[in-house]
Amino acid sequence: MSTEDRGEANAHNWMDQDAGPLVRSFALTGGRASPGSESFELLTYVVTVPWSSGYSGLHLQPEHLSILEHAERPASVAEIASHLSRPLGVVRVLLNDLQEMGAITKYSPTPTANRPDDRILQAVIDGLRAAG
Amino acid sequence: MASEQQARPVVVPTTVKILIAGGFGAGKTTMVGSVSEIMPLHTEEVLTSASMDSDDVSGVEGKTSTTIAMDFGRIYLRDDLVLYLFGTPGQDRFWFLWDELALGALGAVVLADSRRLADCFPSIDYFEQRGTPFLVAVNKFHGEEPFGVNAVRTALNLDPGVPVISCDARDSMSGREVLISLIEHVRSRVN
Ligand SMILES: Nc1nc2c(ncn2[C@@H]2O[C@H](COP(=O)(O)OP(=O)(O)OP(=O)(O)O)[C@@H](O)[C@H]2O)c(=O)[nH]1
Ligand SMILES: [Mg+2]
Repeated sequence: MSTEDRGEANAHNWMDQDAGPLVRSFALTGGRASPGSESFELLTYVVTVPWSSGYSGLHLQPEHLSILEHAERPASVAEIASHLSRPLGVVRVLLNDLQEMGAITKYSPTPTANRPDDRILQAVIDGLRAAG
Repeated sequence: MASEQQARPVVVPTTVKILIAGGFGAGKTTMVGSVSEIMPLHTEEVLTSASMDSDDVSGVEGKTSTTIAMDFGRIYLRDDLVLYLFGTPGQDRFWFLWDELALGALGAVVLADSRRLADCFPSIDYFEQRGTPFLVAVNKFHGEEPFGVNAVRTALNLDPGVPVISCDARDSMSGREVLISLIEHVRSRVN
């Protein structure tokens, strides 16, 4: 199958014919715009704040609860999106909701990329050798 | 819900990201899957100004959105150290997705199918322009390589510093060796 001959589609006509998942996504987000990748990068981690800290879960949807359950241990945004089987844009809206109500703590990725610590690189190599 | 865990310190692991790029059908998903300890996970982005496969267009003329799947795999190297592998979307035109994937990436593997070497030019251009360290791994689709590694280097007009190795994307050991070679390469650039 060729990747070249993809026609230019109508740029703003986004509603799918078999729009089930999109409609569901729209219902979940209420049409709110995604907070964007700067806010929740693929490898940003989130961790659920215990209920005992007192935030209200009254308006939570099942997907919110699913995130809270999954993030009892630190979970990456990519992993959560995969777990929920929802597009990243939708997951970012849900995460933003949870952050605003104080239900999750966010840990942005440590920028190891530009100057990777040599000890980390060696640990990755050792880990790959050991696991193989 | 999480109250029992309150006393436990939160350990957010150090996370290293490597991209697996290359042309359409070069074996990206296969490699992500063979190296990872879990089945490749899957995340997607719905494109609203989208395009689609010519196959899809026939019969569904009104369809104007598409879902771009990104495969990823995860390897826990230690409790506090995780490697994520992200396969890049095959379609070159979705560069904005590549930008997000490339953000903070340690480096990239460009998988090449030696019968269709030109397919990996866009990936190579992208990483060269971005300054992302990468190597080229020629996937042994057919056992014997029609081109040796040096011929591939010449054909792709690669900078002498860019490693070119051969691999079998289906083989976990081979995939791990590719990743190790990439990390050694990153290291040699840093020092
Ligand atoms: N014989 C052989 N087949 C392979 C090898 N690697 C991948 N394949 C097959 O080649 C096909 C394409 O591999 P994928 O891993 O899906 O390639 P991809 O790069 O993810 O493809 P797209 O995401 O569609 O661009 C699959 O049917 C694989 O089973 C290999 O090393 N040898
Ligand atoms: Mg693939």
